[in-house]
Amino acid sequence: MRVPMSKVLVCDDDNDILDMTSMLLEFAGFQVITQINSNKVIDQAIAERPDVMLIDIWMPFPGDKLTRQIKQTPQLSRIPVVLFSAAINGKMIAKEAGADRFVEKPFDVENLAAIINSVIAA
Amino acid sequence: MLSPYAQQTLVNALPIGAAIFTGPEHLIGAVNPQMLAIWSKEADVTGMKLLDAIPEIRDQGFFELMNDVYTSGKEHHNPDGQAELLVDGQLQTKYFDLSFKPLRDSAGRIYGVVNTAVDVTERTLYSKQLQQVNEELSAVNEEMEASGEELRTAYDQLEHTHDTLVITSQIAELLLESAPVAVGVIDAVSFKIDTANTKLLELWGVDRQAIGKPLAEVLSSFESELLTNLILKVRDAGHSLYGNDVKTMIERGGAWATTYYNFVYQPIRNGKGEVISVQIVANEVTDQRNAKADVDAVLVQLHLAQKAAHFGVFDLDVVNDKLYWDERTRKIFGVDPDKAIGYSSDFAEGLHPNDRERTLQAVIDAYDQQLTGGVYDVEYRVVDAANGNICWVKAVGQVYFNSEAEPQRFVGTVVDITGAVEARQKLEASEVQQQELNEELSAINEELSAVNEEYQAANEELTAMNDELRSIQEERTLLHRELEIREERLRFAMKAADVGTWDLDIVNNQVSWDERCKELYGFSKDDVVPYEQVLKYMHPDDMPHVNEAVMYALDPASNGAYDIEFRTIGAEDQRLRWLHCCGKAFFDDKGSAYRFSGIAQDITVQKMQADELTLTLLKVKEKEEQLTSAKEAAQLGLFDWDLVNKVYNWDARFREIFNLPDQDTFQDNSVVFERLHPDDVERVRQAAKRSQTYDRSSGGSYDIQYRISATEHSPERWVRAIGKTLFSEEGTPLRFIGSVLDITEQKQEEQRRIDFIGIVSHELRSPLTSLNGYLQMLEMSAKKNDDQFTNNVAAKAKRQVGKMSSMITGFLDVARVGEGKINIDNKPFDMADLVKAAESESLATITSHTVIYHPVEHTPVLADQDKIEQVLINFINNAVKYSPQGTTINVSAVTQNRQVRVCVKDEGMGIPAKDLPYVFDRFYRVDGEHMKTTKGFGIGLYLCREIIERHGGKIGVQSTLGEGSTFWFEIPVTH
Repeated sequence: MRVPMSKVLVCDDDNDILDMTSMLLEFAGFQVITQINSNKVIDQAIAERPDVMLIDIWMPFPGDKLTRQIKQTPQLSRIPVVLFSAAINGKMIAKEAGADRFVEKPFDVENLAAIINSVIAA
Repeated sequence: MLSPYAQQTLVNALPIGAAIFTGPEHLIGAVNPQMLAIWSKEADVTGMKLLDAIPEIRDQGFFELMNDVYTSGKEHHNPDGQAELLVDGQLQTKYFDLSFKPLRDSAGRIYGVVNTAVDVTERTLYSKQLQQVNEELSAVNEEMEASGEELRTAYDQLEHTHDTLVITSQIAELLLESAPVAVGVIDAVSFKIDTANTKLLELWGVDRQAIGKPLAEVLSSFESELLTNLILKVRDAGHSLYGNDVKTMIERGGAWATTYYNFVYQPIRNGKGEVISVQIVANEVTDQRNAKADVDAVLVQLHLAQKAAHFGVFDLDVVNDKLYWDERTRKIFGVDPDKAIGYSSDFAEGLHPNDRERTLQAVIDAYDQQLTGGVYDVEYRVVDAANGNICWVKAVGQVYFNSEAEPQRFVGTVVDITGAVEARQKLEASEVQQQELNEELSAINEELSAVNEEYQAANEELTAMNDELRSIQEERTLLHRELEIREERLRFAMKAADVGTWDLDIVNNQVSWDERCKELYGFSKDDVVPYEQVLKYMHPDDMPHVNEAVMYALDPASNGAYDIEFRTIGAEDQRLRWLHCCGKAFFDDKGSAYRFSGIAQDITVQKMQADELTLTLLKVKEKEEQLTSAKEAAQLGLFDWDLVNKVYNWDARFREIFNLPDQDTFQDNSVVFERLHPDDVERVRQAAKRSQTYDRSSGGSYDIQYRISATEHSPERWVRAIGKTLFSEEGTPLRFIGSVLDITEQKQEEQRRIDFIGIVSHELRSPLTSLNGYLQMLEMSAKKNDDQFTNNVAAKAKRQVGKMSSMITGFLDVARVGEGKINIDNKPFDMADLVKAAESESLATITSHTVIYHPVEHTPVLADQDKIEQVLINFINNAVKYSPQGTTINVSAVTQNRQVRVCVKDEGMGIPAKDLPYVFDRFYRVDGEHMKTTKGFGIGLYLCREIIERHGGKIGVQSTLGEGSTFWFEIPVTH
């Protein structure tokens, strides 16, 4: 029996990183949907109901604010959010925003996959 | 002789019928209820003659028997004695075990008879019936034997006789068995037991099977022999044998008891008159025997009592005028033991003439029942009829009356009390003599009293004078003591104050001084020196004004006052001393000073201290000025809260920063909190509260950064407040003081720096992120295609990216540290939660090592959680970095001595001992081949130390090269 793949919504305003991350996660066995415009994440998430969202912090509409909105949207509030960033205070921002986990860039794909799996399972 | 009362007591104590008869007429002296029942008489027979009381016995031999006892002293015991007595008006035959014994006085003379009686009528009647049956049996037997030859021919008659026999035998057995006494018949030839009732068998201690057997077979040899002998005696003598009070041991209720029996062994004869068997009748008299023993014991006791008390007994038969005196009474009156006594001839005549009338009157009074109730109690003198000696006697008696109140008997006792009376008389005589002497003494006493009064008056005067003198003396003594005490105190005070004394004799211009005063001048020689010599030892600069002061004191206008401080130069030791001298000059009538004396005290130390104080005050002033300029320069605002009275002081600068009204004190501190940024209000309140809560470890310190909200006139400000709470000894907060510094610009600058560092970090890392991602993709692709070369290249490129990333982090750390201090934002949290967060973080990210987190108890701390977590993560990352893959890392947090110690232990390469002291130093890196592959600037552990030390904690490492290291830190635990 084939286990259904977990669906990950990845949002980053850096197209290179968005591209690379989605490819790596697909390699790691996830179904990946992407969004470069952070303002559209809420609508897309409502439409596509991902199992988890991986969101960058430093974007025009910042990842921490987006996390707060997601957590306040009834349809999305139960979907885990993982913030990832190259910012040195990223971990603190993620914690204050109420994100489920934080991953520092550059990341190791194995660690990232492990964290994504752990938040889905939680 | 027993008194009537004693007699009655005696007979009442007996369980069987008993009576005491006295005199030849056998007067009933005492009789108990059992005897009255036997006689069928009432108690009023007491005092009557026997034959008057029980006339029906006149011709029955009892009177004669008692006469015999009374005259001969011989005891009579009469078992089954028969008496005909009037019961309910009819004469009845009764049987008694009777006993008659003589009653003797202390001289052994018989004065009465004791008679006891046990009613054995029933027993005797049975016995007689038995005898009758036996006699019948004997008759039959005789008949049988007489007509032996006729037997065969007269079979019918025999049969009839046999039947009669059987019936008679059965009746006999019945009678035998129901008899109240032990009864049995023994064959006088074969000594077999013909018959025996249960009582006899019981007496013998055998059962019914013994019947028909010879005595020798069923009884002990002793008993058997005794009984056989008795039977032989009866058989041979042909008459009955009696045995009274025969002692027998018998088993009753499982124990052997001593019993007494009266036995009758009676011969039973055949028709020829031969004794063919012997009937035994045994009646138990144990109770009677015991009672008799009791009577004997009482009699003996009474006799002894009489003997011991030396009293004599008299007993006067008033009616017959017969007087009985016992031996003792006779002795008192000097009458021969055998002489017949007469009331008048012996008693009345024997009394002392002076006492006779009185004593005889006492007897007459005793005879008057109404007057005295028969009581007689008198003391009199007796003239010894034999030798004429006089002795004093006390007589006590009781007269007994008949129903007409006529005196019948008068009995009592006499005691010789001559000794006591003589003693009493002597005492009385001595009392009279004493009385006379007393009177004489009294007269002398009165005279003495008069003299005494005179003396007393004189004495009182003397005493008054004496008291006055004593009080004066006491006053003087007290004053003297007071003076001594004062002197002593003064001496102590002078010694304690280190004071010396001096005295200037102005007339001779000589100074005398004590040892201490000489010391103060550094002088050790003469006690008296010229005044000029003293002046020499003064400091030259002070000499003029000392002189001036002395001159002033010697001027009468000054009233002699002298009080001055000056320096001396030690005469011998050249030491500089400061002296304080006080003195007074004394003037004569002409106003000329004649003496000038005082004290000197060394005040060198005080002077030096005062100089130092002056210097210190100057320095303080200088510092204050410096502080003020610093405060002004730093633009510090000051606060001072009186926590007891709730008064708040803020200086002008503080008020300016907080935009407060221009006033020195405030009664309410809410105005300050109203100015704060809403997000910071609670944090500031908590920090202030913590500072004002007594805690020795925190020492009431307060250090916080917060924002002041923007107003129309001023933008938002950042301030740093540093303060301290002062507590009483009991721990009550008293004051909360401190300063605030406007750090808005500093904050903005810091923010700009953080922003810059953040941007640099982000911008430098972003491309690395992409690069790293693509390299991982390449690596995965190569692995998938089994392209070893590409896989190796990608791995190496990825390591370089990692190195680059670390270098960027390192540069940022250096930049952060280099720019200034690390800000610590303390908040309460649980160390267990922090370790748990680290655990979940590492579980997801560390796959190369096994990280074991030991359970942590609830550990409250007040610290900057992010910074402490940064330290722990740093330790864990270092452990991963410097220990081989697959090894174990242990993380623990344990509280000890109010400090929580967090440890991270690895199984890595370890650190050389020489490097251990420096691993937490800035930019320090351990040299060695193995270190070349690791990255870093030596800034991470330095940062850790900075963070921990700012928390008032400790940090350290233990390490063994090749075995591993344990990094640890400690911070205080809150309550």
